[in-house]
Amino acid sequence: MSEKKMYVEKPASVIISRRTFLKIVGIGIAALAIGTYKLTDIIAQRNKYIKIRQAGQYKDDQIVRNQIAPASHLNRMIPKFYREFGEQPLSEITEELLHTHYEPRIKTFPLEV
Amino acid sequence: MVSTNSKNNKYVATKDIPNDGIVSKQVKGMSVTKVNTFKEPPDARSGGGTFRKGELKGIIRINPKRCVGCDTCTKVCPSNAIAGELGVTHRIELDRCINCGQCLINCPFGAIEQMSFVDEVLSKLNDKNKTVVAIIAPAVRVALAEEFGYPPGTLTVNRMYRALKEAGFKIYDNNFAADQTILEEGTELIARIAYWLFGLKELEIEVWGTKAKFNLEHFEHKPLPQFTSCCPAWIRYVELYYPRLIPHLSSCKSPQQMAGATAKTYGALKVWNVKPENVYTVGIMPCTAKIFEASRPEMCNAWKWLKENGHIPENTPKFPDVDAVLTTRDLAELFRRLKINPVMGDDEEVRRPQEDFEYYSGGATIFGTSGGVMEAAIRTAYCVLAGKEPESWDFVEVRGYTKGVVKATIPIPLSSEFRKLTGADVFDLKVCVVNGIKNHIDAVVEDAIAGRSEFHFIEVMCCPGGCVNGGGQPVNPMGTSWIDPILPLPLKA
Repeated sequence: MSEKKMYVEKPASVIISRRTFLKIVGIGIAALAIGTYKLTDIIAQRNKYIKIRQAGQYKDDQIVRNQIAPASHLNRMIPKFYREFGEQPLSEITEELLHTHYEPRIKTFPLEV
Repeated sequence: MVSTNSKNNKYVATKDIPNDGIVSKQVKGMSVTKVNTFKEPPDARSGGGTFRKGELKGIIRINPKRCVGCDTCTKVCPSNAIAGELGVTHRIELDRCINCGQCLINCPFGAIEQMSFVDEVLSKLNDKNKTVVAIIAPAVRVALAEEFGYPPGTLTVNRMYRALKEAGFKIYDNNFAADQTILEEGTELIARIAYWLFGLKELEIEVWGTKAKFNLEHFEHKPLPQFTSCCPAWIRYVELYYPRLIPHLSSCKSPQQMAGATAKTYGALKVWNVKPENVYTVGIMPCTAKIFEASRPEMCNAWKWLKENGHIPENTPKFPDVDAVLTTRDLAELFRRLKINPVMGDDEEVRRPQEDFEYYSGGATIFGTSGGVMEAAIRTAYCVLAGKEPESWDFVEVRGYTKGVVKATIPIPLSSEFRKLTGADVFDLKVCVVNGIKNHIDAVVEDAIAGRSEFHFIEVMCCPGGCVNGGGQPVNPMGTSWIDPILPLPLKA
């Protein structure tokens, strides 16, 4: 029969035992990890100010809708612009001034996203 | 009274800006983070790489002295243009960059800087020969007040107009140009649908009492689905990464460029009666990509048209449609330097437009938010196709808010004319709204290129939430900018 092994704390660890030390470090690391994780969550979801600005935009829509026009073709300066200058949508003159064209930036092959 | 806030607010210089008695609306501690700017370097327009000669290169740059290598910018960049591992000083690869500025407004350490033209605009305002025109984007009016200590979403329209006029600007609201855009882009959409779905070769639409005829032959090269072209970052994204999508892009310029070209032709000749070459147009945008867009060499159509029609001498040197672009932050800086308070007074509920270009519709003002272009286009297209107004002007199902991709089907009852042409009673308009191109765009684009797309019209906004969250907007403390001040010691890569 072999002798039963026993673990005895060394005298140096009287103030904080080895186990207590491990507990403290473990809890500390867990707190730090969860905290950092939460922080990245907060960063990823920081869209509160976007929602408030969007609400401001829709509020302007409500004000303008009743006082000027709800839709573009009902803005009375738009027919004036076309009567005095632009003729009609997609006319020769608006095609020249208000339309454009696009070119590939790289002639050989596009960049990979 | 303002001084109680001035400790927290890095910007409001108490003694410079007159107190207007509505300070109670200012929110304590509501201060925005300063974004450093720099002037245009001498070689910025030399071209090279994916830039043509004349185009501004390096509108956004990372200051290596302040970058800590935290990787926040890498996470938000839609085009993988940021080089550098975690913990190493980052760098922008300009050839891949689409100038959207998401990295700039999300940097927690204020390390990313923007090219600014405030000095140039100030010098033009002092030049008595120049008619300086402010083209004000929709999203500016819900964010400008943040720079002066007010909460986000505070509307500044009348007050901002007043401040701009005091500074010496003429007003060309970009929302008027947004209405022009809807007329052009909406007609283009109806024409594409008529050609591709109904097989028509010619189309007649009644506009304001007169019949307008459209020859649809050249839409052979403009397939469905049609993509919006209002977002300059998205346009550069297509040109760099998906050139095969180009036929699907609407041929319409963005509202800013429409405004510039109209201001220098119709505006100068018929509205203000000034010499077109003395009109200096300034885009005031929530966006850094607009700075790039204005410098595109083909955007000088007003100069070409004026020369061809004999309104300016043959030897007039080339001028662009939009001469300079200021971001929302730059405009606040300009007001601060001129000691003008654009948030003075409180009369936003009543609109009394005084000049032609101050008139805008509700559809135009929501261009600044994701789904807005789509909703505005639907409002007008509905009226054209149905021959009557919709029961409600709110098409809530297309609003992007904070969703990445929104898909919707809008049933439009056709008018008797269109019923005859198409043989159907109701047309189901299928639309898609992409809210932030990062992670959301690729599937939509690949479907369109392969011809599998079920949609007719697709709106794309590069920045999540739309222009209200653009790269030129004030950096709000509800974002990540609060992280740097709370750190006990400065971080360094």
